[in-house]
Amino acid sequence: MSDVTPQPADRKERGPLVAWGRMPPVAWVVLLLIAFFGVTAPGFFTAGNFLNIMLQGSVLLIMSIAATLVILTEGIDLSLGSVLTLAGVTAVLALQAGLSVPTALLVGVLTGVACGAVTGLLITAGKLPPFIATLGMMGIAAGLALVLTRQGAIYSDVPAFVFLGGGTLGFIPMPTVIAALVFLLGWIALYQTDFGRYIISIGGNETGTRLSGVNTAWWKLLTYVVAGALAALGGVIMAARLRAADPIVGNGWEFDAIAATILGGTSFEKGNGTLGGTVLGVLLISVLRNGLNVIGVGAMWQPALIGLVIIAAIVFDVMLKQREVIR
Amino acid sequence: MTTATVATSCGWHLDPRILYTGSRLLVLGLLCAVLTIASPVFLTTTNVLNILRVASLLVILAIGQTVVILTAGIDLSIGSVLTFSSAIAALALKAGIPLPLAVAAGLVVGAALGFLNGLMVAIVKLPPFIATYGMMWVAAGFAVVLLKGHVVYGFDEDFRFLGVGNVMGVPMPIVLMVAMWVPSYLLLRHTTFGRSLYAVGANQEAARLSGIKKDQILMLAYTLSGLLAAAAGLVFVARLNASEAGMGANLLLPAIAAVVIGGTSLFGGEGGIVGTLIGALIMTIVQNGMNLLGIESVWQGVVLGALIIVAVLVDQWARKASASENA
Repeated sequence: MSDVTPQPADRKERGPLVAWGRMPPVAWVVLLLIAFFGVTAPGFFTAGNFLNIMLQGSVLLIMSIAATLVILTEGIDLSLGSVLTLAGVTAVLALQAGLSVPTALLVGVLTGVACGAVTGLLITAGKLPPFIATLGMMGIAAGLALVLTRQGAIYSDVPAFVFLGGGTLGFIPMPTVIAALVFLLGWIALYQTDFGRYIISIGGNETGTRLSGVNTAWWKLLTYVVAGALAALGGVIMAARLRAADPIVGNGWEFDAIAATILGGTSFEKGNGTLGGTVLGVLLISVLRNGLNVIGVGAMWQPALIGLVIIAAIVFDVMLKQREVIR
Repeated sequence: MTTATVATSCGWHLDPRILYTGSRLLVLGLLCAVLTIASPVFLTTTNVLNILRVASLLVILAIGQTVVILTAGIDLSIGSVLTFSSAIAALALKAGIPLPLAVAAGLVVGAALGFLNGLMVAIVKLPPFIATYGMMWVAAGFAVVLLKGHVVYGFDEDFRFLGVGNVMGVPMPIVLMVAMWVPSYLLLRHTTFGRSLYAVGANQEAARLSGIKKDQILMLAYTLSGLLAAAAGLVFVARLNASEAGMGANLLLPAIAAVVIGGTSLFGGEGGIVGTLIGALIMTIVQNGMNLLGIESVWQGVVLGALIIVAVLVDQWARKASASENA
């Protein structure tokens, strides 16, 4: 979050909630985008479309919270997208095997826990650089999803399962309800518990944290496990929404999640960042994607355009920060 | 480039570079021995030429990856750069542009994308995996736009010669691979650029203070990686007689695996393309062996991911062991 005054002391006193009050650049970009699409596309400013944005942004928010936690420890998780895919697959397979919906949900989430535990152990005990451990896991999880589905989509339309993805609570889509819950729990975990204190501290200065008696390996391992579980939860919701698990559905999701995190002001160095910022990053990507659809930019152009905007924003953000540091 | 020697317990000295290369040759030899016994087809001229032909594409890609990893970076965009730049060449050929010009266009585009990666890493100072990961999605996105979701196929014999031709019985991809490997080897081992590259990878700050133009070296390294990815793409398109948006997607993991199995350190400054050549051969033979033994190709992602992780783990363990022996 490139604030006007980047003094570290100031940052410490404000706390996460007050940081929200100041408008970070990404918030202005979101507002600008909303204004732009509102003017150019008549269908944009409708309640239905806003619900649509929320629905589309829900899984991305869950994924991005996972990415944020990992990036706060100065790590990275490139396997989030494949874990999403694999968890959807195992959940649907569990349903097809006749297991109950809660059990299937548990199977899916545990799949993510297992993947996260493996990458976490490789990083902490095996001392692998995070991007290599998670790149390897990306290959393994994506490969297993292909093996388990025999390379085609597998289906399930058990009503209680479909409700997770397509149902509503009042008028709010279930995925959004779940994403909001995840955000709330994530916020509490990050700002009110030891877990949060330690991962922020690990990102700030890992050696210092370890020397002050904290079992940094354990907290880092836990971070990857939590990230895996969240990605898996995203995968189960996605499968419920599509009523199917597709073996390539998660490809590239980790890029969007990492991008949302960076756009939200979390930096790769020094473990700076807030969960609120990540929400803004998710909003930016979701509004952009939705707006492009509404004004009729074809699906073919979207990955290229969105990728370009994201890279431009990240480059801009990093350069802005460097100028502040020099000053 | 380590010139230190490992003192073994018997008191004789061994260059660790030879030790590393030797251990990899041993693995390669064992692999060949096992497959020769397990499959009667393995050690036939046809199969050996086939392995070398498949390996050449991987070697070309992996040379570029090695150069980047030697600087302590990574290039995750090679698959997409390959797709995009070869699509440019393919479309140019289809538009009736003469062969040399079309090939040049593809190579220039690849180099330009690599140069952009280099800019983001050296000047903007983005972490390499983020800069190139962004490039991976942007280039993949634009490849889709460029090809409009179609497969461009059916090229002239002249162009196809690059992929399916023979020179005195040796398939063209192998000839081209050698034609790129030898100059790259000389460049890395016997030029100022090569030495500076190793120096930058070993210690950026020290390299900068000793007067090496670090930014230029980095930009050159990424440009080279883009250029080689484009070259590999041209050979690939010529061999398949087709260009499509998904063709590069499964090439990234094998290329990184070839480099790390070949013993180039992810932390930079150690290793080289002799190891990469051996690594690529090991990778190809593993894949070839899986085919010969009738293991389904869907398993390959799983095997690749696991191979990368195991290779880096073993490598780190070996380095640590030899370092403690030295001390």
